[in-house]
Amino acid sequence: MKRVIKTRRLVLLAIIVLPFAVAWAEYADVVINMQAEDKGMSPVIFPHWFHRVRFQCSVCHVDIGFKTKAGASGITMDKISQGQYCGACHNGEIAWSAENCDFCHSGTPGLETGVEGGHKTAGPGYY
Amino acid sequence: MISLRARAMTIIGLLVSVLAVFVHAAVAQDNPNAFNRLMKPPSERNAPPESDGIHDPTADGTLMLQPPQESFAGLPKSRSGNYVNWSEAIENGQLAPRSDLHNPDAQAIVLDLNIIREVKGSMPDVVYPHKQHTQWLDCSNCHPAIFIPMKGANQISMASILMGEKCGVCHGKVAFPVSECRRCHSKPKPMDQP
Amino acid sequence: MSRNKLTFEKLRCSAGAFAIVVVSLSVMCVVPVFADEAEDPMATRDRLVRTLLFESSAARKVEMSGNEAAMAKHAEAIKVFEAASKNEFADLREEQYNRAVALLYEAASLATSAADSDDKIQRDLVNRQQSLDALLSAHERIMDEKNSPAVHNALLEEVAAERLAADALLREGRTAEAKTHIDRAYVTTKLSVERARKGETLLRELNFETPEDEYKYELDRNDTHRMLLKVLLDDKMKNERIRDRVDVHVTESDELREQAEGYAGNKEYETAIDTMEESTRELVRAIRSAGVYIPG
Repeated sequence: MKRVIKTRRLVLLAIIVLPFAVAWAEYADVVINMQAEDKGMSPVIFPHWFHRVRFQCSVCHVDIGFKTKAGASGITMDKISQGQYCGACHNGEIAWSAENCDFCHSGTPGLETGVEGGHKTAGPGYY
Repeated sequence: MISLRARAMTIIGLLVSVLAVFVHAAVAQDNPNAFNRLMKPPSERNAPPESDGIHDPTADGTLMLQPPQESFAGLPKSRSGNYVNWSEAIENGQLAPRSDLHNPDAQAIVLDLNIIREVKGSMPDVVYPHKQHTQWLDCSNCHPAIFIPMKGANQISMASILMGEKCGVCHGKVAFPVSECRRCHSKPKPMDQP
Repeated sequence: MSRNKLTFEKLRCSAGAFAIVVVSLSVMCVVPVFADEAEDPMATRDRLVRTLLFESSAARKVEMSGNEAAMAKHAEAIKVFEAASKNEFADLREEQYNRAVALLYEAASLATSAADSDDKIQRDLVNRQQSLDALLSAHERIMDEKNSPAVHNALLEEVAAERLAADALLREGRTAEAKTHIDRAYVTTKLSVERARKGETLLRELNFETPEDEYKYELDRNDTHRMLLKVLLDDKMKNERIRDRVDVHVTESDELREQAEGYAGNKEYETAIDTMEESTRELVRAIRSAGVYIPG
């Protein structure tokens, strides 16, 4: 019983402390929202770090053909379903297939397409 | 004798005060003479998706994603960006990202060629190592779209990099940020030079 | 039990009680928000798959394609989806949703014309050819430098053979196969460059062909420092005293830059370079006067 109460307290504590923790996007997370929200879906957040752990840059940026500029590739669900862009891996063979909509479409509404997290380039005042 | 009720209250009170201390410690660092007063502790870096400010914390998908700290824990550290030294991680074999979509054993062709670029002033000259770059990239990532592989053909300035061109296509977005001056400007000038 | 201790105990209890009240209040404030926003996972899934089936680019393309096989698959996907929506068993429902998505993807593939999917291969081929050209010209310069034009000529022969094979395939519209030849030529060139340059260090000296080139370099350096001013001092400039101090140098720098541009306009590049250098030095002073050290 006591343990239950303790755990519950810890959860409560977590809820209270969490808002105080400083939070920002992981470096190089890419928000992709050229089409998503217009079509009633949450923006996509692409965790660049997760993918570079598994693949060299050239696999996606040469072989698959992602441009090195956020929003420039013109990714659509249609192309993904034909095995282009994300669909080159997310096909149930190399990685989970694109049935899990909300693994990718998990951004908060209103985000703009671009690279997130800490320092950025692209324009004076940001690096 | 203290009544059972009083004892119970004491225990609860104690528990809560201990928690309160924790809360306090978490909100404001308690000891004014503690180390690293102005340095962000590692626990505040690499926030998990549900509290990173861009993922929807109420979406189920968000909770399925890997928190970065879980992945980065054993990797060599750096001072900014993801706080991971990615090239060192490849160099010491901790990471071996695939170079081919379908063939996990394919080896990338690595070019061991350094290019030193002189700069004006007391700023150290730039050393560009092809090696660390070709461990991640293919020649065609950069040549000829970003850099022409010819001596004197590339006007590179910090201004253009800060605008997200040249090196700034990656550095400052996905590779280590340009605030890490000395990782590129790494060849000091001889002392007798002005 | 002393009186003092009792009071302390009471205090502790009331502190505890107070903390509990605070904790519960905050939780009461937080929990309803979460409860309100959190959607039942199955309902979310239903909503997301519905969007994919009815509104996504893939669904629209299938409907606009006029391809009967594709449209039939789409209809089947919708049927499976509707069955899923009504299914009471979560496991089966999940499977049906997955099946519906897979069917839609099949439909989209059917609706894709060969020309559509050739787009990417075509683009890849063009990019690869450009990279091959760039590496080949680099290879030529390297072999010139090393006095071994024979190596380059041998490579050229190899590349020409691959190109010939690629062209023949292209004429038959076999783009993907043509690309494998260009890929092979590219990898051969890359390997030859790698062997030739292995372990080398090249120096790009700071030599300017004309004073005008040097002036352009100085102009760029000045621009860079102006950006750094913004990047490094954005926060600090909120402090009035720092801003005043910085502004003195920036004003000075602005005047010098204007003069330098004037000299350059009259083709007096030597003076223009010196003046522009002085303007940049003022910017360095401005940045340092705010307490940020940068090398000059």
